[in-house]
Amino acid sequence: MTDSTPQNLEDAIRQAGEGWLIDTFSPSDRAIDHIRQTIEDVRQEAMNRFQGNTPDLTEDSLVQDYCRRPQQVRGFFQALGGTRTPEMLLMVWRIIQGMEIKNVSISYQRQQSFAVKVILVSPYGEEDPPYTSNNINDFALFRHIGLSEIGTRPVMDGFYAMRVGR
Amino acid sequence: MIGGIDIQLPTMAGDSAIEVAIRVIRQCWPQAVFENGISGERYNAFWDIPLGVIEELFVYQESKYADAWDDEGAVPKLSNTMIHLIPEDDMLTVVIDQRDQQMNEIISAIASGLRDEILFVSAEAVAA
Repeated sequence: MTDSTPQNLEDAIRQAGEGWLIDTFSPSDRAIDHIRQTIEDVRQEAMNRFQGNTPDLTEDSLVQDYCRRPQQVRGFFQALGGTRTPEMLLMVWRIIQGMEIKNVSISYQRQQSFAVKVILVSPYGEEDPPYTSNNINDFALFRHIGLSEIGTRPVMDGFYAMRVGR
Repeated sequence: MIGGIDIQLPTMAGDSAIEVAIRVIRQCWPQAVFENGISGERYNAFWDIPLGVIEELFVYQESKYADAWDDEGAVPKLSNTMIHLIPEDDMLTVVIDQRDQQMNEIISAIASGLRDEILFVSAEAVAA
């Protein structure tokens, strides 16, 4: 990772140590376009959900956010590599931005079905519309969720990037 | 911080340690506001905090307490309405005024959160 300011999305992804997002895409020269389209799909999902109060999520805002909070944006980059579901990616971004995880419901029947439903809430009590998926691959996103206990009360909070190497 | 109790929490969470602490505190103080401990810049929302460059952070229980601390300083009536966070490479220092039930709960929860393996286990280890 270098300390220079990223000039574009590819710079930010590579500086974050997540160049595999680009290098493992086939063909790799289409990777950035694909990532851009995914980000746009997430932004459209946000517009559909929130109308006039859409979270700022564009290629440029991601690069700017990476400069101010690189570890958090790195987590989002890792999510980009793990799921193609705009709804779940938006959920990840909302968690990274500070929404709290109020409720998680997971249902799984071997070789039959998978369903996850997540409700996010702001510290002030405002809920997002539920985030849902039937894609088993989205379960991997939960590996990134932070866990703690307040007293004996369980808490899931935050979306954290996995460390790459040691 | 002048006065107060320094609680040092060893951590391998690196840059994420302060985020873990902030999120725990917010669970207990949902109206919390934040202040850059070096520049004095106030942040009213979690997303406003530039976590990548923060060296010290004051977390106030509510905006009115942040104003009161600015006006009156560390007076007894403001005890435990502000938590001071100082992240270092392998340590997170949490400064409080005095231990009480809520503070003990917050400190334990931060320590619990910092033990979460996602914060320090490598992706290669997880994939193995």
